[in-house]
Amino acid sequence: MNTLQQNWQAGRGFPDTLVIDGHIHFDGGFCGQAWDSVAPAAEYALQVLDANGVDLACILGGGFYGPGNDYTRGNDDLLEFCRTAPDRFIGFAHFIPNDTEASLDAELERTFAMGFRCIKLLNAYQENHPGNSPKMMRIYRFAARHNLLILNHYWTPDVLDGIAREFPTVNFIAGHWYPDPVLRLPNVYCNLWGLLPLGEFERGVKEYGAEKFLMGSDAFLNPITVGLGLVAQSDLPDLDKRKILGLNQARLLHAVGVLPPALHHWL
Amino acid sequence: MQARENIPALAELKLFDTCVVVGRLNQSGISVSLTEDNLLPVLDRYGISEALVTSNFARLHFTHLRGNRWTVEFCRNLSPRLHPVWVLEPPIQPGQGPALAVVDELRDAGVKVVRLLMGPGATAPLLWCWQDLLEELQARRIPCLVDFGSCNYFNCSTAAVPDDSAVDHLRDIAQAFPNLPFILSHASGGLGIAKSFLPLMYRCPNLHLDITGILQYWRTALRELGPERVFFATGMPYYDPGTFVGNVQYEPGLTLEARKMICGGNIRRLMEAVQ
Repeated sequence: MNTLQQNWQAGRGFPDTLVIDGHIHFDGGFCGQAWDSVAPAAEYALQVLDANGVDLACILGGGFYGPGNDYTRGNDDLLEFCRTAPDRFIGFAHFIPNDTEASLDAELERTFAMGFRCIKLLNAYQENHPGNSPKMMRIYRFAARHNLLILNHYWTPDVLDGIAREFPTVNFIAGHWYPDPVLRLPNVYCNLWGLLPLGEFERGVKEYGAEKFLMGSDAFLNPITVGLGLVAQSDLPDLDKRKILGLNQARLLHAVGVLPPALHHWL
Repeated sequence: MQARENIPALAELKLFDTCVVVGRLNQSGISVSLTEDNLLPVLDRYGISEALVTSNFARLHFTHLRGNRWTVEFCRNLSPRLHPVWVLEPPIQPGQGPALAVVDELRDAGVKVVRLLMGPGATAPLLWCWQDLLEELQARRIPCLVDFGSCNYFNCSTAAVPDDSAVDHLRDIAQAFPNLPFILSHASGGLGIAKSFLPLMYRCPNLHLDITGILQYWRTALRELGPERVFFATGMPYYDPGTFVGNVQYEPGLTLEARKMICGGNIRRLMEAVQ
């Protein structure tokens, strides 16, 4: 058992380790986690991060992701949430590609002006909107022009390969476990949350390298420990675990200018 | 960073896993089977003290009797940390005689927990079908893991999500046998169990839930119904135990007593109450 696993099992969290959860929904009422307002959700989030030894969280919405809903309202809530603790929360603005081109452009500009530098997409759940449609390409072009980071629930490997090559300056993160050869492209990464069978996590990391994986939990739908535990308890060296737990994500966030200054010493 | 809440050590919680499947698997995507060669080292690595053990030999092969006996021998030969679970479907014949024979058999084998197969390929949760067997189980307070996993050739995992219809039938069963503890086992996948399940837990105090469903449900049950209603489980090898072992340990705001109950106290209490 290595040091990191010993600390974690002992209830100490992750001393001397940078931990960034790259995939947290603060508003996912459809799975049973619901809040009447933003403030208590943020308070709960900080309690969870503190209890688990997590330095920073990439925050996504969720409650306004349905195509029948107004995702711009979700971005407003996201901003309010992240402003409660800007040194702990990094917001990922959301866009529904079924929207009109004019409205999409307006929301991209508005959220950029709000300070968001990261995007979360869910097109596969939004009437199975193709990941390389003209409107999705519009979002990617905006990201390339403004140096933004993109996390998506799912792209097909073909689509991800195509867009990653077409926009080589944009870093693309596949939102759930994605051990696919497309990870060999330099600007493609994988957030690891998924219900994996025993041994699958270690197999994927050994095949594609610890540099390609980012810890994520899909909290607060899930307990945040589903992501932390998968890494902490894995049969991998501490060096790899530290990359996956936070160092990789820190580099990506820093590249778009949103890593809090207090964490720059980890780079 | 270091945890800022006083979190107990995993060892202090004495984890008791209520869902472990042993035996060699030949299923795509499953690279590690749990056998006599690796089970104890795997439990040690994840800090798990004891486990309820089922085999797919018992779950998937008819009759279930040979596999059940194999599971018992597997546990007996390996370690007292392992507790065999007897897989059950109701006898085809009506009446208490056949049901009593089934229960006598598992008691003779020293088994204290059963797994009721109610998923595809097994016997649906129809009260009239299960009634005789459940009467005998209730008479002895034998805890029942409720398994909606598939028992056919197409998907052999214990993980499955019961739909509203299954929950409705489960209501009939749980209310008909109020002194029989039922634990919904490895009900997991996608965006979670049917929304009707939590309302059913409010209405049936003998209905319990394990944590493999991951989503908010078990945490809601814990906070609103109490820690005695929630059980630790991993669903290994179908699920990586690393996903689950810290869930209760690091859940903020819980008392040590509540953590201990979920992690093992609840199942130990039910096993001790078997008559």
